[in-house]
Order: sequence, then C-alpha cells, then structure tokens
Amino acid sequence: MRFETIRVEHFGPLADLTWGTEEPLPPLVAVVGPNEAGKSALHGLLGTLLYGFYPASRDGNEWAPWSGGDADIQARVRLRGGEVMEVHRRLLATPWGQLRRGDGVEDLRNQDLPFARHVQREVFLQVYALTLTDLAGLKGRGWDSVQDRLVVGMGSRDLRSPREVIRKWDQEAGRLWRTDRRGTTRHQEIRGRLAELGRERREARERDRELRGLRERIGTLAAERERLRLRRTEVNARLEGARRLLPLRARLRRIDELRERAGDPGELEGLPPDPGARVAELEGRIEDEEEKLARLDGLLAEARDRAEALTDEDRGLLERAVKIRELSGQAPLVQERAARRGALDEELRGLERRIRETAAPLLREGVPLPTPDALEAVALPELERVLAEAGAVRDRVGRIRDRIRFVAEAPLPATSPGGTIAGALLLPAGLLLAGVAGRSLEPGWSTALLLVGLLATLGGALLLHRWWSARAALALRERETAGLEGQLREAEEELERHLDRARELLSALPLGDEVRERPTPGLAVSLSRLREFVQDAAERRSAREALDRADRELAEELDRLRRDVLPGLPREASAAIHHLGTSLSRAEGREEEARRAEARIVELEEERRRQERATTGLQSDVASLREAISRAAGGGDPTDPAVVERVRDRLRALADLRRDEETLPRDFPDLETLRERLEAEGAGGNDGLELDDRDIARLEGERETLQETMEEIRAELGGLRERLDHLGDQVTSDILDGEVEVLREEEARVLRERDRLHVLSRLLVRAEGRFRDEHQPDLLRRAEEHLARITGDRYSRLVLEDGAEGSVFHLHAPHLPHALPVAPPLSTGTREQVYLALRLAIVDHLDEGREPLPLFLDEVLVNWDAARRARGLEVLAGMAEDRQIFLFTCHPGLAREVEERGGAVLTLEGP
Amino acid sequence: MELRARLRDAARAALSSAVSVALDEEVDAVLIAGDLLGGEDLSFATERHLLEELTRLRKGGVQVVYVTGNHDPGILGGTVSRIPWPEGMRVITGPDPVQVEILRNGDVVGVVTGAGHPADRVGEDLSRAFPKPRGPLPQVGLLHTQVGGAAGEGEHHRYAPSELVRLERSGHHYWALGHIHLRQELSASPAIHYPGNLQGRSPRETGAKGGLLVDLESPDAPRVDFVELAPVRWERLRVDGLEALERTDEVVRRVEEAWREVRKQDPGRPGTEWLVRVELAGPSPIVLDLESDEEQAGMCQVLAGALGLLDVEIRTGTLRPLRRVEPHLDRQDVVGEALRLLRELIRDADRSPAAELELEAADLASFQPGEDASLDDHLRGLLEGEEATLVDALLEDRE
Repeated sequence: MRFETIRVEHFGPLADLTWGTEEPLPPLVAVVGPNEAGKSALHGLLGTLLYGFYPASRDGNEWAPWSGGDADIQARVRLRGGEVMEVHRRLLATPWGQLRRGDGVEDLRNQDLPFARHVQREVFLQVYALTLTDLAGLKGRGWDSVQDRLVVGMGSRDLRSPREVIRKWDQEAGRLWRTDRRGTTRHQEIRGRLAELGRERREARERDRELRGLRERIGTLAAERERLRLRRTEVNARLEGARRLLPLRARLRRIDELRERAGDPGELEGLPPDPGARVAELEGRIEDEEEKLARLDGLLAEARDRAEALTDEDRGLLERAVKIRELSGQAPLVQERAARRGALDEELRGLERRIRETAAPLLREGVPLPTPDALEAVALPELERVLAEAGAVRDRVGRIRDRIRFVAEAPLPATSPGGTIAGALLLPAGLLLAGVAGRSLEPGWSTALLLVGLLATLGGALLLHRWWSARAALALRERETAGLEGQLREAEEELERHLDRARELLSALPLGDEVRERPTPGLAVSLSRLREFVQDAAERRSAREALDRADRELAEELDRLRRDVLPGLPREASAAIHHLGTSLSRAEGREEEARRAEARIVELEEERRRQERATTGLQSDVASLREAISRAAGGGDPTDPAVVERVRDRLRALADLRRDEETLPRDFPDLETLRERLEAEGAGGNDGLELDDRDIARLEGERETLQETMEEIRAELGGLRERLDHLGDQVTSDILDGEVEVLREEEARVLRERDRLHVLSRLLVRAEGRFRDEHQPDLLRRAEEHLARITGDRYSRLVLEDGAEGSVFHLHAPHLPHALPVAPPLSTGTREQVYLALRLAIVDHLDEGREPLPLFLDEVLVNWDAARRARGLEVLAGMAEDRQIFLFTCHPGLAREVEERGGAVLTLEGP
Repeated sequence: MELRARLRDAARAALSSAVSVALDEEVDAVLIAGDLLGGEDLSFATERHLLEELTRLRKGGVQVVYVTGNHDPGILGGTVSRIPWPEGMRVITGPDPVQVEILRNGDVVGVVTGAGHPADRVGEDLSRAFPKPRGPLPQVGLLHTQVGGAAGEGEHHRYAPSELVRLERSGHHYWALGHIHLRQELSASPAIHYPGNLQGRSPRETGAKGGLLVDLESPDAPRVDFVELAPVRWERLRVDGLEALERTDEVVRRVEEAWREVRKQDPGRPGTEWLVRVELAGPSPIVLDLESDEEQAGMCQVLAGALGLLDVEIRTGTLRPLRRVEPHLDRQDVVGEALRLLRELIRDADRSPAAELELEAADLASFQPGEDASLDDHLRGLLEGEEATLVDALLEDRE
C-alpha cells in the first residue's frame, strides 16, 4: 500500500498540513526537519491512520492537538492492486473514523484498516516502525521474545509466548518432582511423610508387641489369681465349717433338749409363763375390784342424798321463777318511780306559783283561775294578730297627729304689701327705661338709662317673686292639714274595729275591766304563757297518778307471794324483790345439784354392775388357771407351790424352744444347706468339725496371705490394664496403613501430573523448534540477501546461535577466521546494517502474500559510509517498488539522496 | 487420621455384621478365602476383635474354615501361627488340600476342600492338587487365587494363579475364592465367586461390599445371595458435561443431581456412610476455578453437607479447558505445530514419542521400567487428551 496524500488538520504539534495534493506521494519518502520539527508526530500520524488512536480517548492521548480542538487527519491510500480509498480519522470524545472505498463509505470507528489487519498494531510498532535504537537494543532474551512474536507466532494476535508456557510448565513440574535435589518438591514431601509414617508404623509395631506382652502377663496373672481364689475358697470353706457348722450343731442339740423338757406343748396350751404368779396377780385384782365396789356404794348414797335436798318452798319459787325474775327486773323501776314522784311534786309547785303570778294582773280579783279548757278555747293566734294590727293602727294614729301638729307649727315666708307694690311698679318702669335707652340717644345716656332700667326691672321682679312664694306656701299647708285630719279619722275607726274583735275573743275569760277594755299585744303573750303553765301542771299530775298506780300493783303482787310462798318476805318493795331473787337463785342451785346427782347415780349404778362382772370374771379365771395347773402337773393341788413350779419349768423350756426355733433361720440363713452338710458330716466326712483353734488360726493366716497376694495381683493387673488402655488409645498400624495407602495414591498422582507437565513442556519445545526450523531459514536467507547487497557481499551469511543469554546472531564471512557475534567490537555501522537487513527480512516475512504495509525508518543510515549508504538506499528504493518507505532524518543531504532516487521530500519546519 | 480410624472401625463393624448374619441365618459354616489379616502388622486391637468375633461364631455352633493368602501366609512363626485361634476353627496354612467335613446335628452335610498359602509369594496353581470330589454331598473348594481373566486382576499380584476352566472342571459345586477385592461371579455353573472384601479400603474399592450367603441344599444349583455388610462405602462419581457451567455453584448442583440419580438405583443399606471421590471430567470453562484448592475445599464442604456424606474429594485430573481443538489444527504458528505433533505422536504407532521428545525412562517419575507398559505407550497415555490443554495454555483469549 502507499499513502498518496496526507492531510493534517490537527495532530499533536502538526496543524494544517497537506502533502501529495499536486503529485501523489511516491513509494520512497524522506521526511526531513530539525529536532522537534514534528517527525515523531508524523511517524505517529501514519501509524494512527492505519490502526486508530491509542489510547482511544482524548484524555491521555499524546497526539491531542497542542492548539486545542480535535485531532483530525486524512489520507488517500492506494493498494497494491490499484484500489484507492480514503481514510479519515478524528479524535473526538471517542474516536471517529471513516473509510471511503469507491462509492461506499465504511464506519471505521477506531478499528484497524482492513488491509492492515494481518499485522498486529503491536507488531507493526515493534517492527515496521522500529527505530534504530530499538532494534539495536534487541539481543539475547529480547531477541527471543521478538522471535516468539514475529517468527514463531507469525504475528498471531492471541498467542502466548511458548517460552513462557514452557517455563511455567517446567516450574510446575519442578515443584512436583525433579531429578536434582534443588528445593523441596511435593514428591519429596510425600516421601518424607511416608518415611515418617514408616517410623510411626515401627513405633506402632513396638506398641503392639508391648500390648501382646501385657496381654500375656495379664493372662498369667489372671490365671494365678484364679488359682489363689480357688485356694481361698477352699480355706474359707474349711473355716466356715469350723465357724458355722459347730455353732449350728450346738443349737440343734439344745433345741432337742428343750423339746424334751417342754413335753407335749398341747398340755401347756393357754398357760402363762408363770402360772403361780398369774394366780396371785388375779387374786390381787379380785381384791381390788371388791374395794372398788364398796367405794361405789358410798358414792351412790351420797348422790341420792343430793338428789333429795329440794324443798317445797324451793319448788314454789321455781314454779314462779318467771314472775320472780320479772319482779327482780322491776327493782330499779321502783327506785326510779320514787325519784320521779319527788321531781313531779317539785315541778307542780313551781307551775302553780307561775300560774298565780301570770293570772293575777289579768283576772278580776277573787275569781277562780280559768280552767284549761277555757284557756284552750281562746283563739290565741287570731287574738295575737288582731292586737298586733290594733297596735300598728294606734301607732299610725300617733304619727298622723304628730304630723298635723308639725304642719300647723311650720313658719311661712315673710312678706309685706309695700314691697309687693314697689315691685309691681319697678318692673314696668325698668322695662320702659331700657326701651328708651335703646332708641337713638346719646351713647353715654343711653348706657346709663339702660343700666338703671335693667336694675329697676330686676328689683321689681325680686319683690314680686317674694310675694308670690308666700302665697303659695300658705295654700299648701292648708291642703296638707285637711288631708292629715282625714287620715286620722280613718285610723281611729280601724283601731276601734280591732279592739272590738279582741274583746269578743276574750269574752269567755274573767278578765279585769281595764284589761278587757284596752287589750294590748302583751295580753296575748300573757294568755299564751298562762295556758302553757296550766297544761304543764295537768300533765304532771297525770304522770304522778301513773306512778302511784304502778306502786300499788307491785305491792299487791308481793303480798300474794308472801302469802303463797314466802311468809317472811319483807314489806318494803325493794327489799322484798331482792329477797325473792336471792331465794330463787338458791332454789335453782339446789335443783341443778339434784339433777346432776341423779345422772351420777345412773353412772355409778352402771359402773357397779360392770365391776361386779369383772370380779366374777377374775374369779372364773383363777378357777380355770388352777384347773390347768393341776392338769399340766398331772394332778395334784394347784395351790401347792411344788406343783406350780413343775408346770412353770415346762413352760420355760417351751418358750426357749420356740425362741431358738425362730432365731435359728435368721442366725443361719443357709440353714438347710448347713443342715445337709451337717447331716453329711455326721454321716461321713468331718471337714472342719474336727478342727481346733490352732488349726483355725493357721487357716486364717493362710487366707490372709492369699488375700494379700491377690491384692498385689489386682494392683498389678490394674497398672497393666491402664497401660493397655493407654497403648490402645495410640494410633495403630491399621490407621497408618490407611494413610500410607492414601499417600501412595497421592504420590502416584503427583508423579503422573509431573510427567504430564514435563511431557507437554517437551512437546511444546519440540513443536516450537520444528516451527522455528521451518520458518527461520527463510528469514535468515532474506536477511543475508539484504546484508550482502548493503555490504557489497562482504557479509553474506548470518547465523543464529544459542548462547548463555539466549540466541545471538553471528556473522560468517570468508575473511573471518571464525563467526563474529553481532555485538561490540563489531562496528556500529555494520551492526546497524545487520539489524536493518533483519528488519527488512522480517517485514517481508510477516506480510508475505498480503498487502505490504509501509515501513518507517528513523535515521537508519547516518552511521554508514557513503558506499554502503548508497547501496542501502538502492536496496530501499528497490523495496519501495512494492512497499512505501518513509525515511525520517534531520540530515538534508540524505533527503537529497532520496530525492535523487525519485523519492519525495517532506520538509517539516523547525520550532 | 479420623477418617482412617473411622474406616478401621468400619472394617471391624463389617466383620461383626458378617458374624451376626451367619448366626442369624444359622449357617453351617463360614469360609474365609485368605487375606483375613492385612499382613504381619496386624494390630493388637484388631486381633482381639477378630478373635472375639470368631469365638462368637464358634460359640454359636458355626464351623469356620480359613485358608491363608499372600497377605497372611502360613509361615512358621508368622502371625497366623502365633494367633490363638478359637477352638474348633480350622486354619489351613499349607499348600496341600485339606478336606473338612461340615456337620449339622452330628451329620456330615458337606465337604470343604481348601489349601493355604505357605508363603507370601506362591507362584504355582494350588488348585491343581485339589482331589476330585466324590459322593453326593455338596463339595466346596476354598482357595486364595488369582483366576486368569477375572475383572480387576491387574490391580493384584499374580499369586497362586489358576485357570477358570480348571476350576469349572474340578467337580466342586462351589468355589469360594479370595484375592481379588472386586466381587464377581466367574461362573454360574458350577458357581465360582469372588465375594470381594467386607469393607472397601481405598477409593479404588468402590461399590457395595460384604459377603456371599450360599445355599447348597441343591448342590448343582446353588443359591448365592450377596449380603451388604460394609457400613462405609467408597464411591466414585464421574461428572462430565460441564461445558455450559460457568460457576462453581452450578457444578456443585450438577454433582448433587448426579449423586442423587446414582443413588436412586443403588441406595445402599440403611445407615451407610459414604466416602465419595467426585471426578470432574471433560471440558469446562472454569478449569482454573475447579482446580483451585480453596474452591475445591468449599465445594467439598457444601457437597458433604447437602448430600450427608462422610467425606468428599474432588479430582480434576481429566478435566480439560473448554477449547475446541479442531479450528486450531491448521494454524501456521506454534499452536498448530504443537497440536499436529501431539496427534502424530499419539496416533502414529511407528513414531516413538520418547525419541521425538528426547525422553528417557529416567526423565519420568511415573514410569516403572519392567512393571508398566513401554515407555512410548506410557508417554502416549500422558499425552492423551491434552490437546485442549495445549490450546488453552498457548492462546490468550478464551473462545
């Protein structure tokens, strides 16, 4: 491909530049300019046209225009087949790109140009746009890396470095297993653990051996203990024979003796252990019972006496007990009545005195007091009202009279006829003078006349007024006096009507004349009080009569009691009542005692009958007992002490027999076994029964020794079992075997994984070598061709040889005694010629058969001599027929040499 | 270590269960075809347990016939000769066949002929010396042997090798065999069986483990029933088809589904505890995650909890990156070159991978000259299935 025109709106330091508009840019182009003229920017611009902006944003992109705005570049490109297209890229907020092909327009965005995609941008930058310094710096592993990417990968975008993959696999495989002893591999760890487990297994086997020894020892000890236990059982049996069978035999013999002494138990049935004592005891109890009977008889007599102590007088009192208690309840009333009577008499005397005092001013002298009924007949409330109204009218009469007197005595205004006349004259005269003064007189006169006229009018008016006032006051008094006198007459008539009514109301009473004629409001009050006093006196007399009647009734009752029951009853009522109460209490006491005595008699009689039965029973028991004694003794007098003693001995033997028979099973729980053994011993052997105390002591000693030995064995067994348990808790070889098996499986897995990685690594090494062998010769052949042309066939063979730091190129030439490494002291110019030859070969190799991309060369020929520079330019010009080449230089001479070979020169101005 | 202790306890429990079944079923005899002991390192505790259980059998009136195997040979002074076997138990340690009459209520109801391994590496076929059975009684052969052609024989040493055809023609009604741990029927008539072991001992010994209950009332048509006895079962669960699963929790769910599906067919005896090795296989887009120790620990924990498993282990040895290989075979770069070379080495029998890759036996850790296949075959085994690995390692971008 070839850039024919280039248009720069803005790109880094470049702005508003256009190349190739008049004549399309040729295949070989020299870009010349001083330092900082923008050669690097143009270099970047051409790459950007092919691959877009990186980074793809304005921020951080080194080619953002220095003058601001958006980067904007365009170019027309012609492909090897003649197709022309225009590319336009801008760096806005995001990259924008457009590719015009014929009539069509493609949206590029920031994508590579389609015909440049066979070479990655990174590869393009590293090889097609490689600077001299970059290329010269590649050696050793750096060159290996370039080869990986450029040769082995053939420019593949997605290929990882095979060397890195191999290294990673080798490292991983080395971590698992390695032939040398560097580092600790997983396999060594497993082997270490297996060795450790081997040691643990040996320890486990040791523990097992110890376990078995312990078990054996435990078995021996257990057997010994069993033997000792059997011997101890034997000794115990003999000792038991000595200690248990002998006492049993003694007990059984004694039982036989007792049975013989007791004889037939049926004959002793019902007899107490000591029949004589029992008879004596029963007889003693009979005597006691008889004494109790005598005492009961005494108590009965005493009770009967108490039951008969109630008299006729007591019975009379008890029959009237209700009445007597009622009278006793009146004892306080008798005293109260006496006190009340005295009080009433005193009150009556007071009331009679007051009646006399109240009635005396009212009644005519010598007349008897009016009866209560007469007093009651007077309508006192009406009288009181009438007299009150009369009093009020009387007061009004007085007040009218006082007013009349006051009016008559009041002074009238002073007046004289002369003054009245003078006034009548002065008034018109003054008015006249005033009127004259108002009519056109001299001012001085007029005023004086007016003043005199006015004074005269005023004086006349005052005099007339005084006269008029006196006349009016006199007329007023006369009218008022006449009115008052009328009122007085009416009041006096009303007063008389009230007094007449009062007299009418009082007509039934023998009042004094004065009182009757001039009754006052106080008369009603006095009559009211008199009537109250008379009524009170009547009430008190009635009360006193009631008291007297009650006393009489009480006396009559007491008289009846005295006559019927208690002749000695006192006459005085209070004393009689008290005497009655006391007598009744005594009678009731005697009645209660008699009742209790009768109940006691019933109890005593019952007790006596029971006592009699008991005595009879005891007497029967004594008789039966004596009969049994006689029978048990085989006849004889039961009261004979010798007979009784015989029976008592049989009874004691029987009791001992039964006690022994009862305690024997308890004392000998295995009685039946022992009895059988005893019977067997008696029948044949005599084990133990023949032992004496010395033998028993010897056996006891042996048993003690056996016990101690067994204790020692038990203690040892305990220790052994504890050890056994401890060892049993330890890890066993079974478990270790399991872990060994797991580890061996893991070991196999690790080894296989290591080998897998190792084999894969080897495979990749082999594949890479094969590929390199296939492709590298072509690369070197092309480089050799370029190098031979540049050096005039001085150097025509280039070989890549492995060295300590990786692969290194070597030059071979007829004039050299041996291969010469492309490194100092080889001259800088020659080395640069080797690198350029390699670079040209690489780019040819990379896009062989595809669209050849432009090559950017930066100051590649400056260190060359003139002949080699000329040959170099010839080589480049030859290549440019197929691939556009941009030579960047600050040397105008080189630009001219390019121009001489048909190339174009793009000049960039300096800063 | 706790897991190993649990397995040891499980082995003892399996033995106890076997004895209980024998007593419950009132069998006439219990036959033990060698390798009753794991070797000379029989622990004291295990020995005690063994003797207690055998004693229980004897006290229950069950005859016990035991022939020695390569792991418990009848070496004089060896473990077998040292153990105080219960009275009445018949232990056959020598190579010469011994006939034991099986009694029921005092009557002979069958004959067992057995031969033991006198040493740990018996090379001859012990069955050759077995006499031809005679009489109408059921005849049983008891032997610890590796029968040629039996499944799983590659995992065991070829001690006392025998041929199936010889056993079939021996005239015995039943052959009770030991050595191969995989339970299998070699022949139905006559019945020739490996019962396998009572309890799986390693992840390789998967499936139900137990014993065979054999009824020889009809000697020519014995009835053979398997009785599962192992309280702990090893299982392998291969889970593939992971291409579309892009998260580990999805893979966990897939494993759970796969496990439940498998257990529908074979739920195991009630109370069985499971030790499961999950083998994630085939291409996966998250190989790195699934290979991570941390991720695997988390997945194991989740799976054990969700499925009620005693232990879970995840293996990713056959897991491959999700890479399509075919599109890269024609690449003109080192990827294409490596893929082509790999295929050539695996498929072209005339090419020697060892020579091509310049590898010798000493360069490899997993190759055992003389024991394994040839070095080239071993290398081909290592390279098999690694195409995707190559692609994944060399290419930057995921597809």
